[in-house]
Amino acid sequence: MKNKLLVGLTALLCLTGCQTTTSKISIDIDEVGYQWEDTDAPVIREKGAVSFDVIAPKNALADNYADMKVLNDIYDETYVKINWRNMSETSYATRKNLIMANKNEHPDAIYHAGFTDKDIIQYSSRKVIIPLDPYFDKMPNLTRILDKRPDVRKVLTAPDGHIYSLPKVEEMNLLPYPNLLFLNKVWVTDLINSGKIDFLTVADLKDGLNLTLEQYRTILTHFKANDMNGNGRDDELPLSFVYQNWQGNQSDLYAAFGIPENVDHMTLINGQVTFTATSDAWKDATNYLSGWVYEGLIDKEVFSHTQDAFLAKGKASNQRLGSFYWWESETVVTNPQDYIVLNPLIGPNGKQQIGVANNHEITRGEFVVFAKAPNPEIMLTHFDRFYDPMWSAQINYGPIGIVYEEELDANGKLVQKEIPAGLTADELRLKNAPLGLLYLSEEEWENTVNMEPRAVLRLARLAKHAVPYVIEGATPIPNITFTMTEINALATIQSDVIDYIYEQQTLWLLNGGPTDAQFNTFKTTLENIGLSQMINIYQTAYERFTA
Amino acid sequence: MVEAVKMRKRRHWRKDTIGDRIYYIFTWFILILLAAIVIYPLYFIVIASISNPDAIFNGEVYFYPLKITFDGYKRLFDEPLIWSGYLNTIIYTVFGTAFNLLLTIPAGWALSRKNLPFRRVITWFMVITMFFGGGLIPYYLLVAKLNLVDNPLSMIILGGVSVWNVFVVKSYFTENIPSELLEAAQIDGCGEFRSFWHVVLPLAKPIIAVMVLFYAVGHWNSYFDALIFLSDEKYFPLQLVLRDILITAEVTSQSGGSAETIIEQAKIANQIKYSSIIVSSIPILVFYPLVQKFFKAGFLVGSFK
Repeated sequence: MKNKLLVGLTALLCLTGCQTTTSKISIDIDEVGYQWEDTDAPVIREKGAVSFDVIAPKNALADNYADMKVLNDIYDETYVKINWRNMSETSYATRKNLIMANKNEHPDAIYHAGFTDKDIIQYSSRKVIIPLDPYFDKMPNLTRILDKRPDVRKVLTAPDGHIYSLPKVEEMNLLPYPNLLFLNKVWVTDLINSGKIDFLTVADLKDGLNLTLEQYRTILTHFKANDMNGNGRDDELPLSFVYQNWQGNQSDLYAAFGIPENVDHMTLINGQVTFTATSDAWKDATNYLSGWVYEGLIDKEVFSHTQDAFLAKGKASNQRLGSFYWWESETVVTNPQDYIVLNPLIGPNGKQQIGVANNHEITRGEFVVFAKAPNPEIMLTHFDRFYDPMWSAQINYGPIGIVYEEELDANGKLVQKEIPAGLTADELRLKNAPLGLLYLSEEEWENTVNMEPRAVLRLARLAKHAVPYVIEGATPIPNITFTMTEINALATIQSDVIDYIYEQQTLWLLNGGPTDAQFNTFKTTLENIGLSQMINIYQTAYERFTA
Repeated sequence: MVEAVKMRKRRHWRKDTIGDRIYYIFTWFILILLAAIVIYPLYFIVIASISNPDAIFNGEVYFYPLKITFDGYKRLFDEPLIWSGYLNTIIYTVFGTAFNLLLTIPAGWALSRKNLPFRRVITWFMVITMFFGGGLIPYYLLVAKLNLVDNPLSMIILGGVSVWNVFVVKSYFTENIPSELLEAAQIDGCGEFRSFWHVVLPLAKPIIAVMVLFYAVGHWNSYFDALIFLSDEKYFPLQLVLRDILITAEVTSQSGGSAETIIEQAKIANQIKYSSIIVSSIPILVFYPLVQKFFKAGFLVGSFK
């Protein structure tokens, strides 16, 4: 017994101990025939002569990157071999710090690194990750983009003036406008025909209808009072959305009172960081809307339901939604043809306004290179190809041959292939596209690849029903960088501010709005938490950003 | 004969006072209610797994499945990772549990012997690990040094001994194996190993069954070690595969998903949420009754009288 055990243990130890990692050394770049000028030719002479270890968290539905056609196609072009070490996103989120802590396990780079400003400052000051700007002269595609777009360069630049990460840019100009208001026109037609509503005619019920808050409220009241879906149950939800969600949220209801509201309660007005939740109009809006919640005009579950639960509500056997905020009706309800898009509601002061959201279309921290990587220039020239418009499109949506036809159309644009039976377009995309390092902006949408039909539809609707109503001078706060001191200060203040507002706003909306005294206490408490300091930090950082 | 029984029953019933009847009715009512509280959620998972996810979200599903669809199962079974995950989990569970038993049972036995040298020191040494740990990062670094990161052996070797279980085994042996028995065995010529193998182990069946159950369920349900130590999908245990499919929405935005892809994933996750619960728990449900009879006996023994 004893002997068997010993033998077993020894075997086990040997099995585990026999794996050794060999550390790599730099090679002579002339020897491998390294070149970067010709962006269509291989980067090195011999296929696979140079290889790099890259960690890449991937979506659960995506293929392994080693088997992904688009990445292999790029390998066929550059000859630089990437040994992908995939892990799941959840696993990476847990393991990121562990990987960073374990020097022996450092890869040459991380794709989809998701590095925060804090990570970048921390790890660059410890010389774990290296600045990439010294290699930009070997990255012709990226350099072309950065020369054309100084704002992208600004987003990337760390407080010490170096660039430590590569960007993802997907600009459709959708994200600043995450809300559209939809109204069930079948229900309203019923109300008009039964004489319950007299300020509208059936002919008015088309996209772009203008309603005042009070008129809209009247409609919702009737939705609530009557059995609109005719199933004999009081299950109609006059207005629904997802409270504080990044899209389809309550902001536009507040904006009707003249506040440039978004879920952060913070926006730029003519370059000034402006905070919304301390204004009197915000208090009035909260008071007014709490009435709607009380009367059941706003679905009480907006405060608790998830995005999924909300989306399911539109798909009940009997339609329950009278009106809702979302980007498009097609995702929400089973009968989108029955819904019209409203223009923003006209507020008590007669103005028709919305704010803008601070969602970013330029992100940094997507890709970082480790100090131990030998010949980083070879790897970076390889990844520079990702920023070529043709490759960017394929990185984002999937490769030619699977998602796109081999041949381009007359305008030189990629042509979408038919989607195989049993798959949705999104599934096909998730399976075949790594996403990540890419640059798709105006020029690319015009010359290289078509936007998805949904995005086109959204843009058309937003151009008509949202963009013209944005409060004058209001712009999103760009993806600005903070210094370490600022990050540390924000870490304590910002989450407290956000939590406190969330708590109070929810309480007021559910239980009746604030009295003047309560609102004053609210403002004082925010001040004590450090609201002004937070706004100052944003202002300073923004000014540094634009300087 | 049958008549007689019936008669007796009837007579018995007639003899009940009103108070007795109310008592019985009341007891039955409570028992049925309790049973329903326990059974309904399980039943709900079964009907939810074949209902349309939107109907579930809308609270339309109560007692019978609605808009019956087997899409959840179909999708689940179409996913090759589910099958490799299944196989991995079975391998990790079988070998992991065997490894656990190999360490735990002898350790418990040794600690239960009064003639073990340094018994107190060893006991304290083990107790300390129950209350203090090194933390996640040192744990990770240690495992990385042992070359167990990205190595499926880590799923079998790590956590080989649960100190708690060792003490359960120890107290079982202390109470159930009288030292006279061992003396008798030694007089008959058994050495330490032989008496352990031929005398002690046959008497330890109940506790072994309990340990098998404890460890096996632990292995079956564990995902955290796999989450931090494995990156290659082909080594993933079932729970991790399911977790990756189910918990995606929050993190997707970080590595570059768009609004559509997030919604698409949420849709798939909802579809397979319930079917995956059933698929992943069936083996445990099958396995449980087999060890249950030992379980009751052994569990009482281990309860630190």
